[in-house]
Amino acid sequence: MIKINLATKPGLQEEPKNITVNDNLKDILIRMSATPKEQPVGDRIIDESETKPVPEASKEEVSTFALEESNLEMTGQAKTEEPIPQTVSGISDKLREAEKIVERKEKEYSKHSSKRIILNIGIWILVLVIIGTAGYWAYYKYFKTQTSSITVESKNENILPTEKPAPVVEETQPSSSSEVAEVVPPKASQIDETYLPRIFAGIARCQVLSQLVGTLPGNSRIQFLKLDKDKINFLIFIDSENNAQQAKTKMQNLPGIVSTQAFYIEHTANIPAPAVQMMAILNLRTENAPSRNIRFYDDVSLSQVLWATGKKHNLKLQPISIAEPPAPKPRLAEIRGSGNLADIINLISELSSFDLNLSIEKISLDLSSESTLDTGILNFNISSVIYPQKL
Amino acid sequence: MLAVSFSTNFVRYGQLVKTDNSVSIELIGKKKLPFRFNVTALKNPDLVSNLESLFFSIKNSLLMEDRFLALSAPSELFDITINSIDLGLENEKVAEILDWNQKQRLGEIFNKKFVQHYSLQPLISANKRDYLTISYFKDWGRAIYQASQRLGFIIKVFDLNIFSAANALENLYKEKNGQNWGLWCIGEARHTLLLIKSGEISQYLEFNLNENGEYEILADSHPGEGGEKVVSQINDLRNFSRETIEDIDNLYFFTYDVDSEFFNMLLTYDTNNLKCINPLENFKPKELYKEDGLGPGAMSQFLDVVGLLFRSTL
Repeated sequence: MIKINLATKPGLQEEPKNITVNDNLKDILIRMSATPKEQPVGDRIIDESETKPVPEASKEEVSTFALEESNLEMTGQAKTEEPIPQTVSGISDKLREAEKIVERKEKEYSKHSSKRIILNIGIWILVLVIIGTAGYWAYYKYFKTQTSSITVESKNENILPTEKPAPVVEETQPSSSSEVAEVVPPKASQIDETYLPRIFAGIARCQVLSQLVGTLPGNSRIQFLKLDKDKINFLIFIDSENNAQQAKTKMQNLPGIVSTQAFYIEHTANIPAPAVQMMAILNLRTENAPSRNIRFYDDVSLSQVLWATGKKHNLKLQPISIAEPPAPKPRLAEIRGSGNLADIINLISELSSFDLNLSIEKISLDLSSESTLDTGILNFNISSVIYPQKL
Repeated sequence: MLAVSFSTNFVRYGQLVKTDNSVSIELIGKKKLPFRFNVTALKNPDLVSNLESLFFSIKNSLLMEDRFLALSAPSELFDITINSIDLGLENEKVAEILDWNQKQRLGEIFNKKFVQHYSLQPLISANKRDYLTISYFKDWGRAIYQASQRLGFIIKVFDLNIFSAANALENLYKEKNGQNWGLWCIGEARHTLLLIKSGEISQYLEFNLNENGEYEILADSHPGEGGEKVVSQINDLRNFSRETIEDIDNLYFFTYDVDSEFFNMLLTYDTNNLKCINPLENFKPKELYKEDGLGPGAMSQFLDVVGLLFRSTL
């Protein structure tokens, strides 16, 4: 095969010779790749000049790029610009000096940065402890006194755990999937209008995800599912090709699915049922989400809502992780936990119905390590952005 | 030799060191580019200084000093065509015809471009010979040359990523690749496909896989050759399982975007002659970039770097 080298002259290139004198190295590399052992590569003597630092540039070492007169024209060096000193010594003194300075700065920086890292970790632990404590306190206050502004109607009790409800939860268990019944929607959004499209897009994402999961047959198993902005991709195992084809058709006809980048169904041998794998990359429609008035919640209230909703659905939920302390600007936040698919979807659906000052940007689900025991437990991670109150 | 391969968002690099009787790959690394390496970069007045600081940071990460550079860039930045010319013409005449062809194709910008023609192996049955013509804006060469010269680097090789990656596969597998084989790069903006027939480049294509399930050919070095059939089968892979890719012995695929959903989907496919390989599997670089993982899916992004290291023979 020809070897391209655009660092030589322009025009028609000479035909490559069949045997080149310098093929030693290539032979060695090929033998290295064929015999992976760490052994001496042979007794050929290879010119080591190429790798040794040379104090001064010699004529033979000028770049092919630079040598070819026509190529110099190409690079504009020959006539149009002042030649840049090529001698290595002139440059290398300054460079060495610069490199030393950089090295010294890097060392100093690494010393400082390690101290800074420890300090940062400390601050973050403190912030997390405060948020966690606040959430926990709020949870107790909410469930014990039932005076919280978040209460729940009873519509769908059968999705709640019935066998082993946690005592505290049982005592004040919200009785519906549609919370914040007493939260009267504000007459106007308490969030700046510029942020609203992102919040609505997040709501639309949640709705599409709920619809999509709704098309899956009961015994399907999600290996992973990632929703990232306007794209969703997944690997789901289904019991039969027929069911997979039906699910595919239903998914592609969902109003929130704009187009299909890929949708691949294959029966996989050697794995226990469900053994039909369904992999897809689908594009979502999020721009047409219905607009509504968004209420502002401070971090503690948000934490309360999440904690209560997660508990209600028997999800293991970690305290919401917010990237920065309260500030009049959008901040990244992450909600993580684990549970079964139906409960996770209920959580996501409820969050999207609460009109929170939070946009859901990414959702990822993957099979938890607990599921090696076929428990159906999924880990979930919801990346979001929290928006400040309108000034 | 320091090998540096650019893609739109990343630069990957490797260093090969020769000692008295052995060679070793000292380093395989990757950095996120602080600018996008695409046609818009030429409009950036800071391109040279950006490249210089990038080369400087790579230089600082080397375990041993080096001054010879092998570079490669995304093939989307180049015009690539294959033209047939009757056998028996003088080289000067051939060059004249090829330049004329390229002028007709490029028009006014011909003078702004650096143009090279490579003769491909003639087909025994035909009385014509194919020539591969590659051109790129001289401004690219100027910027790269200036940036590297300021740091004392000497450019030995300047190649195209996918050609360099094919060079790695040719050296690693030789006849195991088969008579007809191909290399498919799953790009961020577009896909590229290079087909090799009987040890020689036969076709280069750029294409898109549309959201409506169809494909679109964006560039074709040799329209009428069999490349589009391969593209069509690649497009079908999005929806149908297939035991083999037809009309080709092996089709290798790789990407620079290791988070690409489609690429990761392909890694799970069970198609006989569709392969993703780790070019460093049998090498033991002293320092190896591991942040994207160590499997073939992650390591295949260094195919072109390994191809450039094989060019150290120059």
